[in-house]
Amino acid sequence: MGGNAPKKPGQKPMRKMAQGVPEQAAPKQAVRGRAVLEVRDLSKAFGGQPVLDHVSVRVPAGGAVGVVGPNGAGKTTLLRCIVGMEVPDSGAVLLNGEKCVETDPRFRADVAVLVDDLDVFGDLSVLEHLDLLACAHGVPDPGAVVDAVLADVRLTASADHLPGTLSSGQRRRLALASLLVRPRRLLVLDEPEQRLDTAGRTWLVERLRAEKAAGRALLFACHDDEILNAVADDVVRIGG
Amino acid sequence: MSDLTPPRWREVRARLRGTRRAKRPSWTSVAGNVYQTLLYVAVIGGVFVQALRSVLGELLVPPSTGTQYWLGAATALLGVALLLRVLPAVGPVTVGPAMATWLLAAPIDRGSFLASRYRVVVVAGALAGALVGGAALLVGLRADLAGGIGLVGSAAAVGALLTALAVWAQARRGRERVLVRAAGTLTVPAVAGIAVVVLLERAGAAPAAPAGGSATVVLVGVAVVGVVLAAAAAVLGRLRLRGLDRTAVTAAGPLIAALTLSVGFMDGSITTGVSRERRLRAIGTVRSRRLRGSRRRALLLADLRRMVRARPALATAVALLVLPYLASVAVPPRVVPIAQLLGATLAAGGLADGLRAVAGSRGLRRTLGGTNPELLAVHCVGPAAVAVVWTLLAAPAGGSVLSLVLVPVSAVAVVLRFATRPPRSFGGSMVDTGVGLGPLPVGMLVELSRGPLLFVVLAAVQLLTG
Repeated sequence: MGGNAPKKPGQKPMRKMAQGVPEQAAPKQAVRGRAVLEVRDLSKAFGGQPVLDHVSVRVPAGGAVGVVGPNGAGKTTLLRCIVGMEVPDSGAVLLNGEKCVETDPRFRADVAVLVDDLDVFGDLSVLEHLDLLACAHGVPDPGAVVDAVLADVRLTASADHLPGTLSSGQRRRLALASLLVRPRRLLVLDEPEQRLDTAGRTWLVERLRAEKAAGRALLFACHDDEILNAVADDVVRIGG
Repeated sequence: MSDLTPPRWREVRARLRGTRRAKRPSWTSVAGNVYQTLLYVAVIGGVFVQALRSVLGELLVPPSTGTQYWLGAATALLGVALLLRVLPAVGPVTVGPAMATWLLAAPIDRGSFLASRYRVVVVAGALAGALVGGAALLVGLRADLAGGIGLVGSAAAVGALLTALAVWAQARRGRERVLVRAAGTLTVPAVAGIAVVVLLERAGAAPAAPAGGSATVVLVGVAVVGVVLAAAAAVLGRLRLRGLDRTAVTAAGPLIAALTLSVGFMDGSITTGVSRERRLRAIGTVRSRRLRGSRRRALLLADLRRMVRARPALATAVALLVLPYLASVAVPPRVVPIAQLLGATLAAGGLADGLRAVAGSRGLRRTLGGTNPELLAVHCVGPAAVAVVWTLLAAPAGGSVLSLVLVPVSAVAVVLRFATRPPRSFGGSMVDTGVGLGPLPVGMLVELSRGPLLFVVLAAVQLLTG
């Protein structure tokens, strides 16, 4: 794992960042396992301004890689390139050893994404969204799974609400719930701690650890050192 | 509490105007621009109206006088219902974000602060009413001079009265619902009235207009009563202005901003999006129902649920059924299939929120899984079913078997084409027409024509097959 991406001329190149991350909570063997996601020499520039320069990242099954860096460093751009929301200028993104194509149903079945705001059907309730997602991904007994996830993210009381009436924190919880009601092998999350209260952040740490323990791979951008320390096996620093 | 004397709005306004005046272009430059624009609009508009007359002159088959009269009455009722829905949605007394931030929070007398805006909206309401009345006379509604003046006067009075009524509703929460209910109550007899008159005309039993000068008497009477009521309501409305709180005068801000953008970018979907969001926020919660079964079944059920919840769109689809039957008494039979296509497209399009959401959001498609064509196909099923049912109900209005088969297919094609248009790009080339209308954004026009252009082509096919 690691990478190299000077965002602006004169800035330090991005590099693999073991130092600065005081503790590695997860077992190291996870890092050495089979790669679910592999990013090779990915570069991206906007208007001639390089944002990502030959970034390489490897996320194994049961492993978690945190992406850190100051605002505007290119963390979100990296995640967007990985999930197909941006087209990189060069480099490769491999999922289970194969090139990622965002429109491929296998990619959509394997990768759960939380980047940018959640897009919703304005006229379906919270519960119906999760129900639809569970059914659309062929989850057996979707009702039980949805109920459990609703309780887990503390949205049971808002199950009948339309998304437009949710607070920003509740909307974030719905976004996280949408990741959990469906099968997944890789989670790509952009600052998942955003807009969560203290209890929510504690829950998030436990949940991400559980995801790792279940053998799922995690790649997440994060500004919260406590979450990084508790979840990430390795850290990729971009910019600064 | 502070014992400072609050400033008078008149003084603040004078200061504000003075500041603005210093930054404004000279009146001669403004007058020159206005003259130039009016000249070009008059020239181009005149050519357009002439062309329209030459086409419509052949296409329009005026129905009998009695049918005209009763259709006019029912349409007027429909217009009143529409105004009762629209006026509370846009304020009508509204303060922009800058005014709200800088002046609404100041201790200025609210009544005098809002008075000029109030006068503008009431006068605009009266003018709009008068224009509608005048337009009815221009397109062929027959009336003598007194009847014509009565018609325009009563339409203006109704416009002003409805505006004042909307201000009354704006002053307290919950009153808007009264107007919305009244609008619904008026819509049903209006649409039913149009349907009955059209059916009678089709059956050769056209209803008669009121005999002799009784129509004139009615119109003049309505105008006199209307003007008195409108004046009283306008005065009462002015007294209510002091009670308009910040929420009341700023609530319509997002919708007005969207309307402005829609006009600027010639894209009505900006306004419909905001309007839809307001409606859904007002609904708040729904009774959730579990989805069961396979992936496709769940997607279909979810889309069906969305359609059932879109009550205004359902009501509009039903009301649109009047369109082809109205066309059947006003235009030659070969043109009726175009009205059928228009109605089916609007009915199916109004109930295609699911298709638009899926087509417009890569995030949703990624989250739902599967392939893009599969997701689009599944979300086309609902609008297609609406188009088929609607066409069956509109079939007696006219059209050949081939044209009737083509109507739902064409409607779904247009809806799909419109839903799948790429995100707006605000770049692109500009072409200066050299006729004073400024540079035309060609790229934007090409983007906007996706959907409407296909409709025009398919309407031409309907004209050939009808």
